[in-house]
Amino acid sequence: MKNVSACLMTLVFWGGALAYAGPYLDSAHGNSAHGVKRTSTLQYATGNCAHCHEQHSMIAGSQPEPYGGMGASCVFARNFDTAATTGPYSQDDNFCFYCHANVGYLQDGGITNNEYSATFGSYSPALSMGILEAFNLSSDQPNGSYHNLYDIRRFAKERFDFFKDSSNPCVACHNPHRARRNKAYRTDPAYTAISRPFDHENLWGDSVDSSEKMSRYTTYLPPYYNSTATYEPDGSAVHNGSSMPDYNTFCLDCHQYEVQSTRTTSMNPNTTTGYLTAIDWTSLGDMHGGGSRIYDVDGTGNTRSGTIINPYHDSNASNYVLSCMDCHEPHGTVLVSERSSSYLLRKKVNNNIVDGCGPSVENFCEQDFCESCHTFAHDTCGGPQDCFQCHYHGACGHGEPEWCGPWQGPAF
Amino acid sequence: MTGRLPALLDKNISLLYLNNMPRRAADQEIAMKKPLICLLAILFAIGIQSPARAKIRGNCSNCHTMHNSQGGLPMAYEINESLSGYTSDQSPNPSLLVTNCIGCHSSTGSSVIENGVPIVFNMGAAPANYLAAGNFCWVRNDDAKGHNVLGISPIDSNLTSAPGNPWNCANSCHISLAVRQTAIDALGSGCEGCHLNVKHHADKGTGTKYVNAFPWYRFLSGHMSGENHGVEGIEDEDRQYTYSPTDHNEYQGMEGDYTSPAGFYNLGNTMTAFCCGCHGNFHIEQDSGSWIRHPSDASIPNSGEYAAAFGESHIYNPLVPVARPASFSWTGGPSPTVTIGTDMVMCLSCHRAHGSPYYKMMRWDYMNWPENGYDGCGTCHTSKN
Repeated sequence: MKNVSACLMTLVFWGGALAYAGPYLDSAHGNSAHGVKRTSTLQYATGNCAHCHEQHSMIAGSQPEPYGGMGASCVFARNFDTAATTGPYSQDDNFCFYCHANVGYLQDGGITNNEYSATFGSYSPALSMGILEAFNLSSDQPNGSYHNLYDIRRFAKERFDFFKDSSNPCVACHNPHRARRNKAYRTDPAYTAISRPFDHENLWGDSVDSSEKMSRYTTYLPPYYNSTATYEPDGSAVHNGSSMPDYNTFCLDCHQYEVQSTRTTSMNPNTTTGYLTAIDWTSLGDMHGGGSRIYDVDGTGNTRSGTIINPYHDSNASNYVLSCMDCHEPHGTVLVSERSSSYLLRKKVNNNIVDGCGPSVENFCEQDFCESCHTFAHDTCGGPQDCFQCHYHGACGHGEPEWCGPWQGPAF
Repeated sequence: MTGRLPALLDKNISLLYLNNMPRRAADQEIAMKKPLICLLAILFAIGIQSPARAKIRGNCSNCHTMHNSQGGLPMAYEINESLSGYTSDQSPNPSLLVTNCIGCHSSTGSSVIENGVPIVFNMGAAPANYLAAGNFCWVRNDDAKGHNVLGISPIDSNLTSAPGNPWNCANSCHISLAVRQTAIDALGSGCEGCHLNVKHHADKGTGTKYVNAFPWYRFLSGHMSGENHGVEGIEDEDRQYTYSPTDHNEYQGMEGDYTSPAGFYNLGNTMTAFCCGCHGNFHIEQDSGSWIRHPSDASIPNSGEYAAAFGESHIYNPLVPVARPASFSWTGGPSPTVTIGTDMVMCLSCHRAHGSPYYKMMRWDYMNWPENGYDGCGTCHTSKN
């Protein structure tokens, strides 16, 4: 009788092993072909836990490379160096950088992670080959712009229950046991790499319907991708946002609030000093979001002439809701402003490569950036490098002294 | 029937020897003693009724030899150097034993219980269904697949000490079980490095039973700071040769301080405390409240992914055993369920104490997962499958 029980139990165990492939195995890290594979723990299968987690802080009597101690959740190194309040970052500042770097990586064969503008926006050649390098594209510049990891950690700790004091700031946006290889499947948002911080255990963007995709905004149109016939994020003819996650909802989990910032000073005079502006992407907020436009796509009636260019002009929608990622990089930007920050803005926007406009602003011209989608025909402000003086998140034509325009309503 | 001592104990030993003609010199020596052996076997067979008894019964000469001589030949034997069989031992053994621990608890076959004797080292084919602690057969050829124990395998080629060893005790079992320890004269070596107080004559009762006093669960006990301590638990009658949710060992655990080494002195009479005798630094598991090593003797949280550990019904899985708190109903026998929130993950949840077919003595093929292997981790980490 006992032998029968033993056989049944064995069958149950093996049956479970064979039949059950869960979200980790579907993730980029758990993928048996492309998953984690640390060069110092090659004896373990690709995707095995041991490549990131050392259960006893050593294997075979010593700690495999790197030799820097342990991090929370038994990861092989410190999760995040809280002394790294600003960039540029080094590999040992963040556990993830040990593999997500282009130099000195520990992932067998390395991982290529280009900046968003290159992967989903057709910029070529890519400026960064790894996430660490993406964060550091301009972080060595006084006004460089990168998603400050210390700020992310500080905010997430206060706001999100899952985020602990020892958590890695990257997990505010990514669940390493869920995140998938979106870069390899740009057409299919089921391969999204992000998880909302308010819903860390689930991916965001992988819904069957449009509820987690940019296509939920009926007036969203993806920017051009390397031609005037193909669109982001995959260079296909699909032009409704169904191929990308709803980045707006995702980003606003944090940025609907003022977020304390170590370096960046907001342009908005109404924003609390030391914080980033809380973004209102609803119908009551920015024009680039749900707020209604004041003039039509040709700027009819505006004393400062200018139009919206394609693909938005010809669609002639009454309102457009943009994706945060249409303008911003998630990790870091190569653009460097004269202002306190270049606000993570993309090098290539709507198939337009943003260049400089003269001495001291050789790689970033605000006018060039805005002209990715707008024609420009007013000279009230200080010149091609002064767009952001008036146009920023929350800018409003309500007669504030800082305001340049004549109209009442949103100026962004 | 291929083990030496079990052969001696077999009721049909005469027939056995007719069917298994001795091939090696040592076997030939034994064959010369056949008449005596037959007599001993018959005498012993009269006394033995149960396949598993805590207290050794039968004729003394089954295990002891007064002069290590019979007909001018030695009675004692040991495993030969090639670990393929047995050879006569000219030197008498302590306590007048005919062999050492390994000589008795080994087999040239693949059975893991022979005449009630648990076999922990199969020299022939690897056993298909090994006992709860596993088997030493794999460590013979691969250091990473078992404890290196004197008489079975040489000192581990990768380790200079027990990993996580908190004790600076030269020439001791804490350094290696594979060499004869000289640190403390009163203590044994090899197997006895862990089974400190082997008391085959102690009457611990029969069948599956709760053991909470000397000589302790499976004779696992401590010394020095662990003096008068040992492992408490329920010994499964057949050491999980057969197993099911209702048929298994039970181990006591205790949630303690996760920021310092551990042992019996601070973790009670638990299996984890015992393991910590040599691997105590592995119990430095937290830093500022974060787990920097995998928890052992930590309760499985009744929250998040762990709330679904062991399935919705939390059925006990002998492949992934848990430790029970002191409040467990120890006299009620093995429990078929895991109580999430109080039952604990422990060393043996993942490892087999003697050895296994898998890297790092894992209870399942962790190393090759997910390409192949098995995701035993997913038993608790239910969202990481």
